Amino acid sequence: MAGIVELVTMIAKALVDEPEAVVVTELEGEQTRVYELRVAKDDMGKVIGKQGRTAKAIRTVVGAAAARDNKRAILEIVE
Amino acid sequence: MKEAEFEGKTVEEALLKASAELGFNISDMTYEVLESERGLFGFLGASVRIRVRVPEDETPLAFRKEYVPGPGDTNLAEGLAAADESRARGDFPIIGRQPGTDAAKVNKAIETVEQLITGMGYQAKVSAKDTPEQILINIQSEHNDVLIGRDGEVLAALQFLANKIVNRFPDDRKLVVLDAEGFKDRRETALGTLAKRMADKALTTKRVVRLSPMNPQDRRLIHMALRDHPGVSTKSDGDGNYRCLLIIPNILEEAGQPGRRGR
Repeated sequence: MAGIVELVTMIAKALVDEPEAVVVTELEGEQTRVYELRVAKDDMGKVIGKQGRTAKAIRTVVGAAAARDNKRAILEIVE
Repeated sequence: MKEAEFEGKTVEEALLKASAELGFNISDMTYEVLESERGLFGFLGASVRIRVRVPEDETPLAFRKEYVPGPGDTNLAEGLAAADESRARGDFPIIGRQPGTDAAKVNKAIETVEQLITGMGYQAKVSAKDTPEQILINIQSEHNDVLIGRDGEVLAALQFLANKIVNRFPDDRKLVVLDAEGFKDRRETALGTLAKRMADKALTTKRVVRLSPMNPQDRRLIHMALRDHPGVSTKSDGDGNYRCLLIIPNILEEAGQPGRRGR
């Protein structure tokens, strides 16, 4: 589903200083989908947050979105 | 910054005049007392002169549609309290909340929450209520169960992200609070019941009861529920996601045996 890619892109772009550097890709697996979120090096902290709170919040929201079609979703944040 | 002087029998009266004349809510003004005469019985013949400051570059509320003529604040007591507080802090020249930015913030909050929910693939009706302390957003949807999540974790995540996005820049932050069809009320009742039960347990066992880790909002609700409980006190212990609440029977507290470290 393209929806989650757009969702993660929208959230990430709203949080970072360099929205142009935000790239989200999707890897389809048997029961899970893996989403890779790429942001500029200096923006890593913004999408992860203090004690990973922002990353956790994004994962929770992505999880709820993936529940819509009974899939598990994993969000990875890569540099 | 614009300044003007006003007189009245009391500070309140002078502020009301200032509000009516300048077209700003009292909570958006700062003031200092220039002269204060007590008069007979502290009131009769008393007079107060104050200097009021309002931000110059902002449109007065009077020229915007949400302005309520007369006493500028819809809630007078709150407006007066806000003005008093800024004075007590000694930040007289600093104007706290800038009128004019709030409406934009509310719209931004609604828009952000709508985008998040539609991005997740759900439909919802999003409405907002602006109060002096926070922007309260209500979500109405067929999918409320998913949008709330177990123990409200999805709602909390959405609230966290919405706050991050809306209050991106440190100036003029305003808390965005999310609710979905009375979830907060239900949560408050449920946690209140849990709190009472656990307080009873702490009292009968004479031991500290440690609740499972909770988010700050839930912990706050339990602190509040037990605030006036005569037999126990509460505190939080642990860090981040593992922070949980302790209910301590007063007998232990008096014996100088508080429940481990924590705030």
